[in-house]
Amino acid sequence: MMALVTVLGEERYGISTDQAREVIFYQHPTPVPRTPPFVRGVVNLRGQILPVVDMRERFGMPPREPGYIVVLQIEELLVGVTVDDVEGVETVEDEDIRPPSRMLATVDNRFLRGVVQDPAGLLMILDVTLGLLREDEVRILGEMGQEADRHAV
Amino acid sequence: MGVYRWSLFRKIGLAFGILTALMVVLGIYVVWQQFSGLSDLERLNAAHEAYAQTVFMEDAFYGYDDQMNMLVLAAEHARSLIAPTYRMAQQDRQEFWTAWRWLYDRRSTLTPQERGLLDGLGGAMRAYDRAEEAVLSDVHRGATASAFAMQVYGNVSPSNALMAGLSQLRKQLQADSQAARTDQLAGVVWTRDLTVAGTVLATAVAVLVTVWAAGYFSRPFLWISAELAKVGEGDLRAEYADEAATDEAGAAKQALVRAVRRMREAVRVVRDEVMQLAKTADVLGEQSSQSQAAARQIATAGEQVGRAAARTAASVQSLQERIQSLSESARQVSLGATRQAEFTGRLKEAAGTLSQTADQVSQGAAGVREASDAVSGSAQTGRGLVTELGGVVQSMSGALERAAREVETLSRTAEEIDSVLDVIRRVTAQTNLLAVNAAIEAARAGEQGRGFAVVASEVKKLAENTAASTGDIRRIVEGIRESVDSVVQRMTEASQEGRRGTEAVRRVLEAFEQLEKVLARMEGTARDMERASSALEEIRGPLAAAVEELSASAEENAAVAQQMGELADAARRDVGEVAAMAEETSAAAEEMAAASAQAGSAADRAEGALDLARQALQRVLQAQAVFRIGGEGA
Repeated sequence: MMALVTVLGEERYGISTDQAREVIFYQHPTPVPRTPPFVRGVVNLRGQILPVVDMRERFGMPPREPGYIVVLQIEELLVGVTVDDVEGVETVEDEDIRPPSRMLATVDNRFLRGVVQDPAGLLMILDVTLGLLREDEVRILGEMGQEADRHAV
Repeated sequence: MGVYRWSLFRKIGLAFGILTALMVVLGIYVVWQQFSGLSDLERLNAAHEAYAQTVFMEDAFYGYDDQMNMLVLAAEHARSLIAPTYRMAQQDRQEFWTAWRWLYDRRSTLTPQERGLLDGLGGAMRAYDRAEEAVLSDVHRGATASAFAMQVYGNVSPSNALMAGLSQLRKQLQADSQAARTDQLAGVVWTRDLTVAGTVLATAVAVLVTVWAAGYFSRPFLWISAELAKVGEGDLRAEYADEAATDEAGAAKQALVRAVRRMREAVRVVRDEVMQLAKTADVLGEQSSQSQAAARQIATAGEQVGRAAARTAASVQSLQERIQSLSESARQVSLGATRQAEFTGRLKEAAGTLSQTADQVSQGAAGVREASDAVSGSAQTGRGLVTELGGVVQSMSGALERAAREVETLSRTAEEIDSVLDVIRRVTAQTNLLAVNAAIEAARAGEQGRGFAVVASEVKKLAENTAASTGDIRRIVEGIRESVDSVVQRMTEASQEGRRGTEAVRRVLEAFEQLEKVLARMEGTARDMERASSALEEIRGPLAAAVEELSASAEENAAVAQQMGELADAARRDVGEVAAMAEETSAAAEEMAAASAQAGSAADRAEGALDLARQALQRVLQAQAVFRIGGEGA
């Protein structure tokens, strides 16, 4: 598979290009009232409303101004997640992915699909639909998008 | 002293014994009455204790009653609290049930979420059922406890009859204790009255007995005391009749009578003897007076000789002293003359030294003047040089400031380079992002995007290289800026140094001015010194002549003093001989005076002794004259 390599704190996380659509510079999200605490706000992506989830807060890491927003596609829904840095796209062979060790990541093991060793070091493969966003959260985000579209109309 | 059948002390003892026995009987009776009240006190205590126990029992019963009441009330309260909650829970469950049925009827068409909700509702209802069961069992337990409490309370109620009995018993016991207390109080009052009456009676009897006994026992002693007072005054004339003694007082009376008789005899004998002694003393007195007169004449003659010798010795001594002081004066004069000669010598030397010093001062002053002239010249030259130095320092400082301004321009240029670099960096970052997005798109396109992915990776590499170069340039510019900063700082320091140099030059010029002033003053002083030394030269001649004259007169003084000393020594030798002779005469006169004084003092002592004897006789006569023994005139 092909993975987009992102950096959060000291650790590198890979996101499959099936789910990662695009990377944009971080822009400050506009806060939206009555949204769950994991949503930072929304940004305008070429006329489309994009809800932004703060990954540092999600993973319980100390807060910091992020560098980029990775645009994810989950089914029909577009969601932005904040990351510190982006390295690029690299090929990861499925047989190289090993199950995650409890000692490895700051991130809850629920969100991990596995770990790969590449020339630059350890790369943790994130599974977005498995646990990065729970099902109910995905639903809420979807409703938010529709509502925003309605308001826009 | 004999032993009497009715001795005085036995009589006193008997009287006080009867009195004591009377008191003891009375005391025992009173104490007996006091203790008879004890049985009443015991009865009182018992009644009180019984009363206290009934009160305790009553309290316990009432407490039990209260607890029962509270138990029943608590059970009722718990039931009333649970009831509304229970009702609300049942309503909730009803609503769940409606929702669940609605969903269950449409179970074939449900989405996964709705199916989850159906399961959740089932679980919630089961939980509600469990909670209801628990609540109902609690309510049941509460009701059981309440019923049991009621039952117990019903069993306790019949004990009200017992309570009434207890109350009755308590009242009776209270009455008993009251009666016992009244009885005891009456006994105490009676005992108190009896004690007061008995004490008054006993005191009256004791006073009467004491007054009678005092009169009876004191009578013989009063008689003895009166008779002794007469004897004390010297009256021994009383005659007493002999009578037999019956007790100690009678014996004392007889002893007094015998003592008075004996004293009368003794006084008579003493009086005769003293008369005889007085006559003998008078004869002795006359003889002693005669011998004393002779001794006194001898002593007077001796004293006159002694006084004459002493006067001679005193005169000689005073003469010796005067000669001594004369000799001392001569020596002082001689010493004075010698010192005068010495001083004159020193004066001469000093005059010589003074003359030499004046020459030296004159030379020194000339030297000072030359030196100050030379220094003044150097100062002028120095001042010119320093002024020139000041100009150089100032122009250097100006050049430095100009250089600093140019360097600052360089620093601004570095900042401009920095801003250009920022633009490059932003463009590079965007290029990089573009490359990443292109790579993502290529990956999503799969096999068709392979070539595009290669291009994207090349673009990314390019962007990364640009970023690295930008970083290098930035570091170089940063280095340039640091160097410029340090150069600016050094120049500022140098410029400050230049200002400090100018300041130093100004201070040096001031110092030169001061130096010139000092030199002018020094020249004035040198001129003053020259004038003083020439005045000294003028008085040198007259000073030497005066010193010569002084020296000659000192020598004459010394010769006169020598002669005076020799004369004084001769006079001292002559007077010494006269003094020796006067001492011999004086010694002879002293021996004579001592002999006559011894004779005189012996006669004096004899006369003194006789006087003492006579005085003693006189006192004896006076003493015995006090006694009157009757039957005689003298």
